[in-house]
Formats: sequence, C-alpha cells, structure tokens
Amino acid sequence: MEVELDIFSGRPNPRWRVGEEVERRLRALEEAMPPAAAEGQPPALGYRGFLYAIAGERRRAFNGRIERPGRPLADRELLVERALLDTLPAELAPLRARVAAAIGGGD
Amino acid sequence: MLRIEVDMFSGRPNPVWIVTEEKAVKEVLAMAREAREGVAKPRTGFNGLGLREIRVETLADEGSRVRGVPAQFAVASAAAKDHRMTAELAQRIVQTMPLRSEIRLLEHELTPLDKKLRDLILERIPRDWEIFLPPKTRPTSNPRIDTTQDGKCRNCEYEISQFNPGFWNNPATQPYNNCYNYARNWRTNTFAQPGRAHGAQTGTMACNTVTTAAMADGLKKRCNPCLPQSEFPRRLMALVIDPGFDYHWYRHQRGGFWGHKPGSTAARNTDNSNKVITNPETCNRGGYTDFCGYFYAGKSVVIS
Repeated sequence: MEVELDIFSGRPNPRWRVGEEVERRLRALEEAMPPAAAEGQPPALGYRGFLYAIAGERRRAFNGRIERPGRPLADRELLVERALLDTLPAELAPLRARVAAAIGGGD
Repeated sequence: MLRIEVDMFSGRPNPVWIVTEEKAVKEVLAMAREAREGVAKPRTGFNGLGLREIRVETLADEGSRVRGVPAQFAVASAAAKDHRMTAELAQRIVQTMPLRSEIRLLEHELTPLDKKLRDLILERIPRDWEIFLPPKTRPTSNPRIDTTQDGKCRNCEYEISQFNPGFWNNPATQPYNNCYNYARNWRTNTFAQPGRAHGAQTGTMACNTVTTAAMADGLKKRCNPCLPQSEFPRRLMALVIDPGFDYHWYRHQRGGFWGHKPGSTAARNTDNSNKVITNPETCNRGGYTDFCGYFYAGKSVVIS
C-alpha cells in the first residue's frame, strides 16, 4: 500500500510503501470507528493529513477524520494518523516532529 | 547490472526487474546513448495516474558504463525532448523484459512478471504526451484580464485576471498542478518545479535558491525591470518559503486579493485562517515563514 503525506505545496509530497500488516491494522481500526459528524477541512498550507487507499478506495486521514467514498469516519484519538506516522521512512525524519506536533502527539 | 522499473501503478508495486547479463546491459545503455533526445532525468515528467515513466538505474559500481549515459535515466517520459524517441526506446527496453521472475524481487509477489504484464506495459506507453499535457506553446490564459499600474513602481504594469478556481479544481487538473503552475497560470500537468524546464531546479528550500531557479525559468524581480507590453499577459507572483522544507507561490488576482493552490489541493483565495488574502506578506501562511519577494512572470516564462 502506498502512503502519501500531504504536506507540501511546491515540492511533490513524500510517498512510501507499507506492508500488508499496516493495511490490515488500518482496516481493523476503521471497523471500530463511528461515522464522523462535523465537516472538517485541512488548512491550505502545511500538514493536511495522510493519503492512502484500502481495496482501491482512496482515503484522507486528517485531524481525526477519515474521508473516504461514502460516509466519513471519526477517529477521535487519531489512531490512523499516529499509525501512519510510525511508518515514516528514516529519510523523511525531518518531517516527523512537524507532523507529530500537528497531530498533537509526542515524537 | 541494471534495475528497470515501470512507474505506472498507484496501489500495486510497479513492474520491476533486474538485468544482470552483461550483453543485455550493454544493449540497453547503447540504445540510450544512440537516442539521447529520448532520455530524461527520472521523475521530471508526468506525475499523474497511469504510466508515468520507465526508470533505468545502474546498480553496480563496476561493470558496463557507457559514456554519455547517466547512471539513472527515464524513458517513456514526458520530460524527454523527443516524445516519439522516448516511446520507441521504451518499447525496445520493455521488449526485453523477462516473462518470468528469474531474479525474484519483493515486488513480484503482487506484480509478477509475465507476458500479459509486458503486453499491458507496451500498450500503455504513451506515443504522444501532448494528449496528456497541454501544448507548451499555448499557456493557459484567462480572457478576462485587466492591465494595472504597479503600486510599487508606477512606470511598470502587469495584468490581473479574474479568479477562476474551477479551471484548476477538477479531477483531471487538480492533482497534477501545484502552486507554481497556478501562480504562473500554466497548467502543465507536471507538478511544475522552479528551474526544471531549464535544468536549474534546486533541492535547497531557501529564498535565494528558489528565486534563482525561478529566474532561470524567466521570472523577473518586481520593478526590476518592468516587463514590456510584448510580454502580455504579465502576472505578479509572490514567493514564500518554509525554510528547509518547501516553497509556495501566490498570484495577484482581480478584486484586490491573491489566489494560490497549495500542492495538489484546491485553488483558493483564502489563507490558513480561512480569510481572503489581501496581502501575501501578512496572511496566515502556516510554516511558510520566509517572505522572499515579488516577481513578474511574462508570456515568455516557461515552466515544466
């Protein structure tokens, strides 16, 4: 599964691949999530979430909300974003602290 | 030893194989040398869905090298000078793809090599990138344009155009055009990078380096000098930097505000506080703390 960190404006966003176990974990997390209520939009500049696809369906995980075809999901503890941040490759380490600060977690 | 990757999938791993036989390595490199106009720097062409390019990479620090052929190059690339040649080169390289995984790679679990895959790749190699990209000789333009005197230097003029986000915010355009495309007002569908069209792209995100790269594309510093009317339409752009990480551009629009397009997201005229941008120097720019300056971009500015 390919993951894209939606964070840049000029440069292309970083993308990397993760294994099946990550995809399985994300599916399991989604199954436990309630539908999301309020509309939330990413900011123009800066961290705008993670983009990925499960079974060919595109998703955006941002600020505790999973946007996907159909009803969005509420991820109140930002478990998906934290899980994907954990997969950030070593060469993207300079972005880790910035994303961690945006999702309100420690590094 | 060569690694050949066909950059075409979005979910599955790309087709990839290793060429180890010395004769075969020499043949691929010789093909590239004979058709240099069909070879491009990797990851500088089409960046959207579908076949983006075929990357060839030398893996070993000894063995065959061919003078004039870089250690990494791309074919079937929109960034190649000769689109017909790049497609033909790609065809010839793909014809040599093994029809089973003699050297087993991790990617082969989900994308095994076989005849069906080879035929699919051959079918998907674009013969004419122009059908994916707008012609470079015809940059986009908005017919509703006003000429205005520059408030900073009254002897200079530039054009301000109607804010037209719908042009950018559709599935065929939005993902493939960034802030630079928007500010220059040219939909290249290549996620344009300052300097890339002129071999002057920078990897260092700072005001001076990105400015130099953009000026290699033809941008001029505001008021220094004025752009003549022959450069119509002349845009006023502003550059900001997230130090060490990224750059961002704005364009002055009719109505007293500035428009921008953050990466592959929607074009808009609001900042990070959701307020209409009347001044890019003072609007909420998030981490893009460094304001580098203003630039004119005239008709002759070429980006890619």
